[in-house]
Amino acid sequence: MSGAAGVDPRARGQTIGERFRRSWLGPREPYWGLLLVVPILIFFVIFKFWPLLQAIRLSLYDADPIKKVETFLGARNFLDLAGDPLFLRSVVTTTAYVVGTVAPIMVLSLVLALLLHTGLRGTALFRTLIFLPVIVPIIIVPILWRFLLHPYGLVNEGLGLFGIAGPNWLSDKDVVVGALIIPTDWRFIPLYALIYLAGLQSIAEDYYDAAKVDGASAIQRFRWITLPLLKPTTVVVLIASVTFTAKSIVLPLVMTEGGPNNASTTLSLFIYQNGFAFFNLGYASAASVVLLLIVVTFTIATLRLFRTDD
Amino acid sequence: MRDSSRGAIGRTLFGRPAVASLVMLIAAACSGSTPTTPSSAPSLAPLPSSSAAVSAQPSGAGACNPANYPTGNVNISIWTGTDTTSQEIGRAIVQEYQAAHPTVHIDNTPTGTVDAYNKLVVTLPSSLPQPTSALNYEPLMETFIGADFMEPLIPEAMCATSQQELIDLYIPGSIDPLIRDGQLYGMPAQRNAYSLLVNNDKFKEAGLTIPDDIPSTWDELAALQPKLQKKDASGKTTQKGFEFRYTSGDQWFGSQFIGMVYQAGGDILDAQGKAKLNTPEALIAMQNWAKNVVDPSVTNNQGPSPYQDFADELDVMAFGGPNALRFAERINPSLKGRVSVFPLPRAAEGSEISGMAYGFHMLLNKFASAEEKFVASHFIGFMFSDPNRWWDATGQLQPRKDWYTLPAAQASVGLDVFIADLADARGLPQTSDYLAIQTAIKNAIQRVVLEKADMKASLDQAQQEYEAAVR
Repeated sequence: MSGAAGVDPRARGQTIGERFRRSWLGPREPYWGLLLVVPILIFFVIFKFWPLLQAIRLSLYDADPIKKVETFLGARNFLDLAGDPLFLRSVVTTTAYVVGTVAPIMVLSLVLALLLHTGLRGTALFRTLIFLPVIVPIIIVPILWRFLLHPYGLVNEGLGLFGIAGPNWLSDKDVVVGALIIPTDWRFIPLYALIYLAGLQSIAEDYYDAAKVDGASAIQRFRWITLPLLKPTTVVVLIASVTFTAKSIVLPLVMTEGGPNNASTTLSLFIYQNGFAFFNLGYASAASVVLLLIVVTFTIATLRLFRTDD
Repeated sequence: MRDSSRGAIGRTLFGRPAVASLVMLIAAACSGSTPTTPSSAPSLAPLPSSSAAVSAQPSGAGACNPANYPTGNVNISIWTGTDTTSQEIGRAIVQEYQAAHPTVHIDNTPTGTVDAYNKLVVTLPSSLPQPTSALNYEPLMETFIGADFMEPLIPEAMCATSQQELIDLYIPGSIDPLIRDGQLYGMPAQRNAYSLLVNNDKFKEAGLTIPDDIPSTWDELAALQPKLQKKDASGKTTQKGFEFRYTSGDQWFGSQFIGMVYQAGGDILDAQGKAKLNTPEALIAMQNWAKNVVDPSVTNNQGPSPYQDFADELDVMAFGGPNALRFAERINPSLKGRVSVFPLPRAAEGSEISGMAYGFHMLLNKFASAEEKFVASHFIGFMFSDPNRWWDATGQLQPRKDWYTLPAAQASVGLDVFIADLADARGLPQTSDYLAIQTAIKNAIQRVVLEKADMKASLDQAQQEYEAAVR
């Protein structure tokens, strides 16, 4: 039976604080949960959301960071971007870089995870060794691969063993994006393989046992049990790999400096050059807003696509 | 081919002031204190005689004890060069200074040129006091001095009574890019032009003689390339006569190309201080560049080691300043005594301009405290008070009057040629648009060299890219 008007019967015998918590946070949210979240929220506001808002604001201005001059332009920067061949080329280059990097990641990471999941002897050691590229300082990667991709470097020497004439990886505009893809995959496939491995290990063996009893082959078990149950992990890998690759700048900056002739100038490098070399901070901010919209759109589309299948 | 008497004249420069006066570049006066306007070639005064050089040295330089030196603890931060030789001498000088001044702590961070520039672009507009002093690439200085982020050096800190007294330490005209309205905005760690380094043994192996066959123009150099190039059985290039640098950083495209535009009688900046990259002279420079492309993909040159190919004896000839020779000898000590230095090839016989001159200078941060700036000025004076020490350790040339006449300097290999090329050179343009110019030039050269693009069209595109970048 209800008590006095406006008083939740469940609140009888509770302190004021407990009643506040129930009315404001819901019945199951303790104070300490909010307290733990506040610091990271402050961090995100200061280092993520505030700079994001500033970038959006600057995208509407002609801003010179040295002269500290800002002139309101409205959407002019975005219109200029639409007609800038270098910007459009950087979008195409970035797309090629992302697709070329993520496709192998999605496949090879899963294959590697499946191998690691077999539990064969030595997989623990193998798992440690293949993770080395992930923990190498990022600046080492382009420096190392510049030597490996030298016209007479190890990669071409290895291709020569199979009778293949290796290209001029860093000076040929037709293959220079490949020179970015290879080290990126080398570095990140092991990382995503471990994420897949965690997903595989979370799948209950009961499913496989039941499938075996029903006579399902290994391929059928993979197709109808493993892949569907890995969907959440796949979404994470896909979104993370696309996002990190799209905004990657170290490789094009250090390995190729965007060359030859802007053939490897990704959108992030375009933003960097315009903002900090040419002092067009507003223009660079507009390009960064475009990059943000592309990545957010892709993320939302991916989440909806995978949600629809459910 | 080369006039064999030219080297003889060069070798006797120091002993013959009258001949030294002929080395001075006769050109229109520099426009001086407005660095964004195009300037003609600097007019270096004749090298002074021994007595004049000694008398120009301020008293106490190097061991200077200024009256107003801060007595309390002072911490300063400096960014110096990252090449190995500079790091070593920089560390030693910092230790010596701190030992002599126990109340001063110096945080010395070797920082790459572009890295330092990128960091300063972010920190200085925020009025941050660090670093107190930083090594800066000459064409990038205008970005900071023009925006009033840097201050002139403090004469009192160096026991000098005026800015002019500091300026008078240097050969007239040699540090014009550092001077604004009579104020000295830094001291040069080095100031160079490019000369031609020649591997004597490799050159003679090809049946060529020194100095008769040494090229004096880009056309002559191009004619030598087939004689000096070698390939192995698989067709892989194992030796090249000469190659420009394509993998050592964007600055190598810009600096050399601009020098070649100067050689052709042109300029990079117009009267309004805006770049013009598709002039007839730029086309001549591009043609001279393209004539001397051998095999750009065969190289071990990298940013931290841009002279690796010459050191490895892959390149028979290379362009560079005196520090290039020292750098290469450090990598390959067997090169010592086997390298000759000659003037850089020019656009045509009789071309008055040898190319471009550039430098690296220690600038003073305006936002540091008064004590920090005073101590930093004093330290900078101390750091560069012994040009011979820098020359011996790094090959970096400081154009100081009181050094060239020393026996140790006169005995240095190729110094007369390096100085002659410096005397005939023009400084790189100082403009806050320099990186946009450099990037556009790099792209133009890559289109021509790697994609065989039409040179005029490539330069026109470079001009468009530059104009888009500086909208």
